[in-house]
Amino acid sequence: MKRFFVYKHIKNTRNFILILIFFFISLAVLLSLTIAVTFTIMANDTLKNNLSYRTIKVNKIAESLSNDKSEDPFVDLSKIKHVELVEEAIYGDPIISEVKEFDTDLKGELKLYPILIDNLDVVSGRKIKNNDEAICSSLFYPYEIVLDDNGKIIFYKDRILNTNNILNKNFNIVSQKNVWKDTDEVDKVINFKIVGFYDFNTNNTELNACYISKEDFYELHNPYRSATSTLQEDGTWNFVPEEYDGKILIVDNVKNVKYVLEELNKRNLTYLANYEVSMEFTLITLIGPIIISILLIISFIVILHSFLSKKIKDNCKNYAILKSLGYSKKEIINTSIIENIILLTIAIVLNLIIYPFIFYYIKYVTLQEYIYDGSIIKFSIWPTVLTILIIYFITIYTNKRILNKKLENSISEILK
Amino acid sequence: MTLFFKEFFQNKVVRNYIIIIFFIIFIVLSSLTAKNYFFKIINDNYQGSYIIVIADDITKINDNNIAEISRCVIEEDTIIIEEKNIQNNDTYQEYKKKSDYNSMEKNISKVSQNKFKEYKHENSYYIKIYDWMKIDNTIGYLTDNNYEIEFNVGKKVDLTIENYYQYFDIVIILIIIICFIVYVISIVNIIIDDKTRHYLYSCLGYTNKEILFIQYSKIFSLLAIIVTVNEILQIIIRWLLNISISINYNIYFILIVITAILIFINNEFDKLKK
Repeated sequence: MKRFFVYKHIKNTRNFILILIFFFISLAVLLSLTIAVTFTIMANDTLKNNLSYRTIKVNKIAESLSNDKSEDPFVDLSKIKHVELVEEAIYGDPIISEVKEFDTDLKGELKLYPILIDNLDVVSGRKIKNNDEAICSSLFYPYEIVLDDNGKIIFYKDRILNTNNILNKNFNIVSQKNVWKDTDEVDKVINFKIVGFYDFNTNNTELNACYISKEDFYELHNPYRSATSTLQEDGTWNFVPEEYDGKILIVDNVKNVKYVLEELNKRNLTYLANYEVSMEFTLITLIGPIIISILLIISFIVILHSFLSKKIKDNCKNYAILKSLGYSKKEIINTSIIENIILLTIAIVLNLIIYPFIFYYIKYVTLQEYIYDGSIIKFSIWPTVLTILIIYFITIYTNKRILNKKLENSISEILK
Repeated sequence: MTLFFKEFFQNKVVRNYIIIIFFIIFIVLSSLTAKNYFFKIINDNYQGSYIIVIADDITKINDNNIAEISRCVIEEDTIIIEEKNIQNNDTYQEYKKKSDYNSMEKNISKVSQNKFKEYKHENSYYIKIYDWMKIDNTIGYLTDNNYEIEFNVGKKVDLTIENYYQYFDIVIILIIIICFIVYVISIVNIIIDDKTRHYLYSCLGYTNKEILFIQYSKIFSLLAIIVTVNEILQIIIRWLLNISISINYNIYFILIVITAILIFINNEFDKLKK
């Protein structure tokens, strides 16, 4: 009887509209919580673990601002509060090199970084112990970036290599020391062995990034930061290289970058930081979506309240019949709640099917070009869990409250 | 007429829907404000970047991303731009060169039309850009059309959010679409709830046209109240976030059209039933 009652009522138009409301509101809450979680992950995880976000390149003293040029402008940089490490500027620019060992129909290319602070979580293999060893990304895509006609990056997700197959693989990197030098010197080649893979999810560098020892990095890196090129009369190019003349600072936490930059300002040093955390931005990306979710939930409660009141009015004859058949008030309330929970479950199941599609469509189709450089949008289960819990709780609570308030009166009116 | 409004706004169901519609419009407008805020942060990051076109005739330059073209003079380290909005003879320094590393980086100053006459202008024009994220397209357009250009595109900081902006954009659009769907459902419900009263009006001798006019007046007055309060809130939010205060005419136009269509369709259905 109870089952028949529930089944019969799920099929009516009002309930169909209720399913739509459950579906759209929970999807909107889910999407807005996803924004909050994505940006929180970005602020707390990506920015925290990726060393490049807390690296500051200190160039040189601004000539116009400098008073005493004889003084070493970089002295005591390590004494600035929150500065974890001071290194030569050369370590701030990665080596981008062709790698023939990875050539397929795509051209093999790697981006090599020096290990300055050992903050990499190894997921397979081991850490670097000696020179001539490399540790690469767990999502390894050792190819050159290909651009389409519109200048967008084409990334072949299915070409990510299986790390088990390439562990202990060797590759050669040619030194870039003589790139801008007119010399007959033979370029040095270092043969690297991939000894492990770091967790890409906690250290979002590019998918073709590998880390090597500081010594190897120095051996391979071009000693000049740039070169001015001029076309000569005989048609050849003349390169006048400019040497690295600055330092890089690594700050202990991305939140302290701003403080260190202010200190550099006080010392009249020019700098280039990868990221300056704006508290305003961090707050808006977290609080904004939460406020939107709260407003959606309030709207949901109001809609639900209005709908359920009407439903009780419409169904009061049925409830009166159940009451005459001997059903207790609690049983009648439970019947109505079960009916609405079934409607909500249908909406939630639809959401659970559609939401991953939307998420993965945005991630792998619309934002495909951003996966390559490490700005991957991470999937989190929390928005889904939170939305389901909130929506179920509100539905059951509102349903119980309205039924307790109105059911008795409606039934007694009919029974009179 | 006052009686109709009084009766409409005192209805408990209508009051509930006022809350719902108010929140929905608030969410839609706030989402657009957040979108503008992100856009501003990202574009502010390109401060000091510039494009200069060296050409005799600039009237044919027509790119959607170009906001304004002003006459300019390039001095050794500084670009001096003629600015119509500057009235006195002051020089307003918009950007001060920060590094000696980049030879293309220049100080950017703006001067009034009067003051600009002191400089010898030849054929350089400073281009103001709407969206620096689409700068590649604009440079492509200018080079494809054989314009001689000089540019420096530099970011203050390498913002990760530039990549996340598109993601945010798509999700915001989805939320706005959902809000519109909920809005439609709410308006349909208000119209359905009002049907009993319309029957009473027709019994009292009101014609269909008069009833339709009453219905349009009631729903649009409800919408006007909600939109006005929301717009005031948005102006405050935009002022707090320091972004340009502009009215979202497009959204209001869509709301008005949707509402008008829904009332019209409902009325046509009623006619058919009769």
